Parts: sequence; C-alpha cells; structure tokens
Amino acid sequence: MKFHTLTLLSHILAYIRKDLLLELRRGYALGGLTVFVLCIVFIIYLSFGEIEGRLWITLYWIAFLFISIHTVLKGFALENNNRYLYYYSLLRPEYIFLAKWIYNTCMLVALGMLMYAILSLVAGNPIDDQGIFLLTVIAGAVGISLCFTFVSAIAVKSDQSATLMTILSFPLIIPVLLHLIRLSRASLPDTMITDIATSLITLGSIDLLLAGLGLLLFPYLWRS
Amino acid sequence: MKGIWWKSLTVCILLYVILAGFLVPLRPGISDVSPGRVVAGEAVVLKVEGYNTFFTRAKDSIHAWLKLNDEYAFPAKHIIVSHDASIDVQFEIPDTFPLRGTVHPMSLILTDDTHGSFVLPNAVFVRDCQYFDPPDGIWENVTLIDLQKVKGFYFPYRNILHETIRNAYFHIPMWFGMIIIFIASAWCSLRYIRKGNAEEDLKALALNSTGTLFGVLGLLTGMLWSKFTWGSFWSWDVKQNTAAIAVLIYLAYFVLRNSLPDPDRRARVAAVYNIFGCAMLIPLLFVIPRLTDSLHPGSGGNPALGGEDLDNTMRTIFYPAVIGWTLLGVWISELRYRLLRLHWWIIFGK
Amino acid sequence: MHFKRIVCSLFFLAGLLISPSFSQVPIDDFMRSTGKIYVVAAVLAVIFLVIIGYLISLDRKIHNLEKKLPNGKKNQ
Repeated sequence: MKFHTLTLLSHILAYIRKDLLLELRRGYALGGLTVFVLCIVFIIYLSFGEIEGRLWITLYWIAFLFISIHTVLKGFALENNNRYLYYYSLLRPEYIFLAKWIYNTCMLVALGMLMYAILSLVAGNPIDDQGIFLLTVIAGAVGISLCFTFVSAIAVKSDQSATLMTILSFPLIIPVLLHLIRLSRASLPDTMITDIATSLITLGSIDLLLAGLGLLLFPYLWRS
Repeated sequence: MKGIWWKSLTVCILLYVILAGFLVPLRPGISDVSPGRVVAGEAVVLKVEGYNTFFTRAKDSIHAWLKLNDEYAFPAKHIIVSHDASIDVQFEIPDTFPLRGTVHPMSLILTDDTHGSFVLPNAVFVRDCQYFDPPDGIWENVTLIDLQKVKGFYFPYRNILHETIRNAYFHIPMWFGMIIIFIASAWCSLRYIRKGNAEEDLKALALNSTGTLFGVLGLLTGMLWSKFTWGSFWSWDVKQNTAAIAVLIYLAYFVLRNSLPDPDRRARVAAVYNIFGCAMLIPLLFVIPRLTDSLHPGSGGNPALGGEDLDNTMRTIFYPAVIGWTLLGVWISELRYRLLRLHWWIIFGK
Repeated sequence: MHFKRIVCSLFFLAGLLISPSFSQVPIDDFMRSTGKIYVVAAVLAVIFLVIIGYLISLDRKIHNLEKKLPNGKKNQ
C-alpha cells in the first residue's frame, strides 16, 4: 500500500515537473499572462476610475475566470495528441488528471495572488478581511481548475477548442462562481453575509462532486 | 403502434389534467379591501371585493372580524350586501389596542355558511392607536371565533396568482419532466461509456433534445406567467437564472456534438460531457436556489411546493400532470430516437 | 426552403418589434381580466405550439431521410 502511494506521488510529481518545465521553457507564457492581467486591470481602471467594493470583487472574478480559461486550456493544447498517447502508455489516466489538476490549481492560485496584488496596487484594496478573501481565492482556484481541467480535456478533442472551451465551461462554472462572489463579499467591511461556513461547505461539496466526477469520467475520455 | 398502452395512458392523463386543471373552480376569496388605511377611534365602512363569491346567497350568515394578532380581534357592527362580488362592512375601530405601537396592520376575517371562511392578511392599517392593557369589551379572543368550514373540490385562492395557480399543472411539470428526462439521458450515457453500444448514445441524444425542449418550454411559460404576476418577463429571479443556465449546459452539449466529426469519438466525448453536465444540475437547480431569496415558492429556506401553494386538492392533479407531461416527453424522445437510429442504419448499416 | 424560413423569421422579428406600439395596455388588461385566466390559456397555447413546432421539424427530418432511401427499400 505504501509503495503504491509512493508511486502515485512520484508519478504525479514527475508529470507536474514536466508541465512546469514546459511552461518555463517557453517563458513568454507566464509573461503573456502577466501582461493579460495588467491589461484587464488597466481597462477596468480606465473605465471606472474609482472602484468600490462589490464592483472590485465582481471585476476580480470576471478577470480571474477569463485568465483561468486561457491558462488551463493552454496547458492541454501545448502538446499534440501523439505525445499524450505516450504519456498514457506510461501513466494511468487518473494520475494525469490529478497531476494536471494540481498543476492548474497552483497556477491559478499564483495568478490569483498576482492579480490581487496588481489590482490592490492600481485600484486600491477595499477588502476588510484579507484572510477570508485569500481563502476564497484558494477555494476558487481548486474548484475552477477542477472544472476547467475536465472541460478542456473535452474541448481539445475538437478543432475549435478555444470556442468550445468557452461555450462548455461558462454554464458549468456558474454555480462555483456564484458561491465565490458570495463568499468574497463576506470579506468586505460593510458585509451583510454572516454564514460563511455554509457557503464554504457548499463550495467544498461542489468541489468534491467535481473531483469525483473528474476522476471517474476522465479515463473514458481517453479510450477513444 | 409500439407501446400503445402507455401512449394511450399518456393521452388519458393529459386529458384529465387539462380538463380538471381548467374546470375545477377556484375557492372564493377576497381580492380587495378599501380604504386600506384608517384611524383608530373612527367608524369606517370597508368595501370588500370578493372573487368567485356569492354574497347575496350567504346574506345573513356573513360575519366579519378585524384580527390584530393571534389573540385579539373585534367584530363588525353591520354588514350590507350590495351584490355577489361586493359587500360593505361597517366597523367601529376602538381607540385602545392591547398591543404596543401606534400603527397596526390588521387582517380581515369573513365567515359564512356558503363559502366557509376567508382571511385577507394585512387588509387594513390602523394608525394613531393607543396602548391599553386590559382590553376593551369590544375585543374578542380569536380562538373563540367560530370559523365555518365548507367542503368542496376547489383550488386555493392566492391573491396575486388568482386563476394562474392553474399553471402549476403546465409550467412546473415542465421542469420536473426536464429533470427526469435529463437523468434518464445521463443513465443512457453511462451505459454507453460502459458497454459502447451506439444505440445508447442515440437514446441519450434523443432524450436530451426533448429535455431541452421542455426546459425552453418551462422558461417561456415561466416568462409569461411572471409577466402577469411579478410584473416583467424576466425578473432576474434566482430560479429563472439557474434554469436558463441549465438549458445552456445542454445547448452546449449539442454544440459539442456538432464540433466533433468522428462518430465514435463524438459519442464518447458527448456521453462523458452529458454525465458531467447532469451532475452539475444538482448544485445549480437544487442547492443555489435554496441559499438565495427568490420570488418562487420553495426558496430561501422555505419548504418547496407545500403549504397553501399546493394543497391536497391540487396534488390530485399535479402529480398526474408531472407523470403525463413526462410520458409525453418520453414519447417524443422515442420518435426522435427511432429517427436517429434509422439514420444510423442508413449510414453505417445495422 | 431557406429563403422561406428567413422571410418567416424576419416577419416574426418585425412582429415582435412592432407589437409594443400596438397600444400594449388593452392586451395587458385583457390578459388580466377574469382572474388572469387567459395567462393560463396562453401558457397552454405556448406549450402546444412549441411541441407542434418540434413535431413538424421531426416530420421534416423523417421526410428528408425517406428521400435518402433507395426506392426499392421504401416499403421494407
């Protein structure tokens, strides 16, 4: 049993390292994302000037959503199908899903923090309870990366993967997004929301549902 | 015809639902009371408008009270029946109220031997009230009021809804049918990814088309209903939004199918997405509406579909309606499935 | 066929755009009369029309399929 867990971990870690290396080797990807974040923040700032709390949060999540669609899909579209065939001969599909998901979560958390820093720098920081907000960002990154990893695995099967990714992921992500916006509103100073625990538990159970579905269904996606 | 017994059953159930849904009368109710604001210590004449009422028939047996809370009420002095749908009730509002505060909303209670009894909550607002604890002689104990009960087969009267409460047999079953059909479709998809039988995938596709049709119907009928009860076609109510998103999930399913040219891969990927989408309906349709305030009954922590919005009389038609409309959906999906299968046979052989 | 469809949908859209200018209030009053029973009638009509529309599209699909069949197999 111990051995089994170890191989699982080492396989996943190896896969994550491979993804990270690929990402770093083509350094412009991270740079491109940073520019993307800056661009969005700049446009938001130009059009609104001063940004009050609720608007800040909504804009944050909209920007986060677009950036994460872009990031996650790129992670899949980077390599061609033959390369994947090779990976599948080495690893079980569940491991690949787990590795992809962990990698994407880390990426999204990093991007979320980056965006948080930039947005606070440029547009001010209306958040009262930083802890809750950062917790929300992490919970959001987990949920969004689960959903998007799965959907992008579907979308790359088609030729127009970018369009398909947007169409497929938006309706699916809305339950998660609604909870995220609700939760992050709890971190504003004049908040009316007190039942943070309920929202967190609901979000957690949606994440669990997504994770279970992803692990169960992902292997079937690759059998074709 | 294949499956003639359940198809004729469908027709019978739907006929029953439509006939009973339209013909059973609404319980009589109070639609309006004017004036809505009175001053304490005055004698007032309240003009009470009834709906579906026969006040001339009930003439002498009508009694009326204004109810303050669950303890106190005072009776009307005099009642004049002008015609079937309207009576004038004369009250002498007392100066002192056995409750603190200067403005009190009061409910109107009417009871007679023809209609039974009705209550209009917050019918009148009384201002300039004074507090006095041992109440005047005019105040009666609510529990002593003898409310007449009349038996009969009626739908409940709700103030804004009026006759549109009958939409419970046409609008709500669309959503029930949609969910049942989507679950059936996910089941077919599950069988497809386990066994790889192409027919299961076609079944899932056919069921999804009908499910989406029901979803669109639910949205359209809901919009129409909300226009004349809530005031606008789209009220940005949480259930309207989540239902629209649910339909979007399934529209994306068709887009996904169309964007994959290879039939084998299309079937597999679509089946996986179908199961995923169906599972995502759970948080979308059953969790989020319960956490947010909504105009719909059954939201914001209220029990769904219960109480006075769906009483036992309505249940005898509502449940057959759900079964009937769902069976109609299955029938349409079956036709669609047979068509798809024919298409498949022509292209790939049996 | 496509031309017809486009013309039909254009008419439909034009109807939708024009309809508010046809004094909306009387229609509104009509729908609210007799305890809003016409709302229920309209709801049932919408369900009926949409399902009929779906059946017509199904019918057309079957028709197209029949045309694809080789002649000999038609009565099989």
